[in-house]
Amino acid sequence: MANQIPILIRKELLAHLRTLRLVVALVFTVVLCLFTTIMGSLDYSLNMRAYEKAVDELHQGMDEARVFEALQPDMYVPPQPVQILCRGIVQGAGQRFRLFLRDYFLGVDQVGASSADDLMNTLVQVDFVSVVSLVLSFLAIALGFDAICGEREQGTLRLLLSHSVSRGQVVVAKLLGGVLSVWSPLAIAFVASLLVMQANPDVHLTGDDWLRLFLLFLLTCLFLAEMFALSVLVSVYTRHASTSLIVCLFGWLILGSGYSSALPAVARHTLDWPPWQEFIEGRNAEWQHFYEAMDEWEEGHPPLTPAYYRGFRRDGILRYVHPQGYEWLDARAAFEFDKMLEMADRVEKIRWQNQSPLAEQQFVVDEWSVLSPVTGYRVLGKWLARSTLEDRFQIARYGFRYRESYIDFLRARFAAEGWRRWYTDDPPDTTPMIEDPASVTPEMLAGDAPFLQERLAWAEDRWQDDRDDPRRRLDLTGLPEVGPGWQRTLPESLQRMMSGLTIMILTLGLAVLLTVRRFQTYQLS
Amino acid sequence: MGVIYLQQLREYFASFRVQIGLFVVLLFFLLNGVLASLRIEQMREDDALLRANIEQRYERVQTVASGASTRFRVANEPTGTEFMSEGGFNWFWGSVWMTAETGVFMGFYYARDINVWMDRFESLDWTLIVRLVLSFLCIVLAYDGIAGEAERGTLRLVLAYPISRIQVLLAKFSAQLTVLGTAFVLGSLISLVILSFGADLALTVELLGKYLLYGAAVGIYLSLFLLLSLGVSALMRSSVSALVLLTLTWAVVNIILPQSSYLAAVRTVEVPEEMRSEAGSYMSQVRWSLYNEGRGPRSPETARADDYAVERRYARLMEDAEKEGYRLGQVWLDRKVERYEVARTVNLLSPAYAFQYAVEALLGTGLPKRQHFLDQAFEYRETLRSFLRERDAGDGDSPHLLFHSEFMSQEPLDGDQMPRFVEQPLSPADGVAFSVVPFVVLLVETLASFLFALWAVNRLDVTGYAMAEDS
Repeated sequence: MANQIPILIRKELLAHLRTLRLVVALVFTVVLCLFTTIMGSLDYSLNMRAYEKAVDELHQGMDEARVFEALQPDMYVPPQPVQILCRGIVQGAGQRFRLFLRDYFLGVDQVGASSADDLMNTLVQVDFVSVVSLVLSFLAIALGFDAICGEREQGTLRLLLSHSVSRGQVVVAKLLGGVLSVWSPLAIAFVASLLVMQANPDVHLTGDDWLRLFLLFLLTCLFLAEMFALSVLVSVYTRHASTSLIVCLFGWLILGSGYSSALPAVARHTLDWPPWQEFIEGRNAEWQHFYEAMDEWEEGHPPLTPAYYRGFRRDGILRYVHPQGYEWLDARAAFEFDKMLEMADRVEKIRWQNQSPLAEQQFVVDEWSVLSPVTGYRVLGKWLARSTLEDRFQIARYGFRYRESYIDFLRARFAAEGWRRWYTDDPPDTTPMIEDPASVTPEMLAGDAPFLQERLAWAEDRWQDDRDDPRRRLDLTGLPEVGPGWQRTLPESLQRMMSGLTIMILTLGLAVLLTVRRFQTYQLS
Repeated sequence: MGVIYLQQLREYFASFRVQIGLFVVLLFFLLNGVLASLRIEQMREDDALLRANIEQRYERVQTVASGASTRFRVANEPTGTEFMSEGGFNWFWGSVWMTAETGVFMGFYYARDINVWMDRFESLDWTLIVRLVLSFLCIVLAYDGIAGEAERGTLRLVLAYPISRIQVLLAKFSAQLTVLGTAFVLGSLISLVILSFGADLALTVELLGKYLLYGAAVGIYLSLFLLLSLGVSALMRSSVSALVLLTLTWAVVNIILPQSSYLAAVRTVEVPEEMRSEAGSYMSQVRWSLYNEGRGPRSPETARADDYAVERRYARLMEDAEKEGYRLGQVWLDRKVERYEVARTVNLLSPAYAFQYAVEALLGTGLPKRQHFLDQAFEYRETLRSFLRERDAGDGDSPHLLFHSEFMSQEPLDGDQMPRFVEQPLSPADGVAFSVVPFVVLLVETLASFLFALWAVNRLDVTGYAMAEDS
């Protein structure tokens, strides 16, 4: 008895594979998947170029920086090849955490020219996962809607059951045969997409990437099985193929396009968020406090006459200041550094209060997406490709810790070498531009005063000789490096996927169970 | 023909598919009404803050000189029909920062709060409902319009009557269009009623005019899908195959093709990131090199001694720098639009977007509105400048170094007297002009599907049909 099942499966499979609907869907799927993957792969290369350019500029900037104030060791994350198939919120681009000391933000931005373009932002982007979620899920429905009621109407079901097979075997074979029929175009499309990706010399897949791609394939198989089982379920609960079809079609429309359009709109307009203006005002107030604190410090530590601080400024860096002037500037820098970091923390807190309700809207969308098989599949795909908003925050949180370690590095350096390196590259034995500031009157420092002109000319000459002094280069030994941990590991990703996967498997199981149960008592006439 | 029409109509309204289809359409319009009301409420709060922020800037103006150095801000206005067609209203730049000062470029940003943390999604406006839900309903209604009757054998019976095949086609088509028209009218009325109660939407004659135009465009767009479906239905030997082919075509032209336009545009036109800041950096570079060469402006007291000789030359050079800087800025703005136009052209292949772009232009929103707004923002800077120039000319003590605020009149100026920016909506004539291309595309595509349907129905061989599918 049990060996009847393979025969039945074979019959289902052959019956499906020969149909026009499967051929049409196969052609559509393969062409569309190839098309989107080729476009995505080309876009990946563009994003890679943008990323490489940005990293080059970062290194160049770090090489050229002469003072720590001008150093900004931003953290860059390259575009991820798995995201060619599932672009998600990161849109397949490289990411950057900007390491501002004055004003940071627990967020990352995209590397690439089109990321901040108001026009391009209105366009929705397509990838393998979205094509599959629409086209192949439709195929699953087109194959499943008449699985039971269609055969009943044609009278073939009676014929089938007159053989010595149990009803349970028939329905299980129908489910398996149908699922295998839907998986065949998927397998072809997936392999074709992988080949396209492999053909791109910029794409380097690591072991982890392969594992994720494999899991994405399994996830897609599960999703298609779910869709097929649901349509067979409809088929076994209806008497006519035409009714079953209408239910399936509208179900597909609502679960797919309808739910995915409505969900973000509902989240966006029903959840409250504070206006941006509140943040602007809060930030301005914090800056005001900062300036006041600096003024207060200066009142407590009155500076000497301007002649002590008059130096030569080039490329934003002050040089050839009198040693006594430097002493005061060092003390001021030490105070300013702490105040600045305090202010940055407070501004970030205000900004987070302002922005987290907005991020929450996306989290709500991701959480509720699992309710519909189609959107659930898309979200699970994003978790696998690490292109969800949570994954962006993962990078940002890593960037934030990196910033902390950079600050520790700076503090250790200044504790050892003094604060001068924060704002100037003058070595300790530099001759000042004004050697005896006590004798200089304010008139001598006026813009066109001969004394000042002569001293500036001296500094200019001096700078030409000094500029290549190796001691002026910034010593970056000990600068913390970006290590692993900026993105989720596979177990971490899977952990986040658990609720969605559970719902998916439960739906599939429930659909199969109900179908089998109902079919036991299905009226043939 | 009239008999077939009425018969079909009765059949449709009694059928399960039309009832469930109507229910789904009404559900979407209901959701649209509720969400649009919420959005309008939110926008009223947003806009109060926005207007206050804009006005504050004028309050800070004390003198003619400070009028020249103040950073003003202008913002666009909603069209009031965002619930019908959002047309990029939230995402397109709607706010421009500017100063009259020479050598400073303008800043562009969104006018109202947007959510950069969210995946891009399209606003659930009428256009989305028509584009996706109603067009899908077309397929569901018409996929078996011919093939189904052929399968059941009733087609032979229908054709036995003394009417031509074209008449049969037209009768079926008009019955289907009536069903869809009913769905649209009922749905849009639900949305309008919710909006008028939920968000005090004024039901004006102007809105009625827009509604009728919109309805006409919807009619053309849905005709296209109906005729296409009937044509495919006549061509395919089985109704299920017709359905699969139609739905996949629907998914491609309505969802997948428009979504790939992004990738096509990014590949075709490059807008390097540097271009964004080129205008500003060019002008500040010129300024700094003038300063470094000692040709920058001195303190007003020193400069007065030789009647601003250095400063006059500086102003002249900066004037040229500004011209070049603004030219560079314009190149960047144009390039952005050029890239977007590539995406629009790809989208235009899809009837769904031909429809969307046509109604956007007719309702005075979309890309035409954005461009019109930016043009007005540039004009407003000129208005500001000529106002300040006039006030400065009236002050004999001013050095008249225009738009270098340190060397302009210190006469008091009340910010209230300064001209304000009010966005003029796109004129109906312009709207029609912008809608011509998408409309022509839509009409040509509709005509093509009409001819296709006609051809398919005429070549139909009613004798060779088998009862089962795919055999």
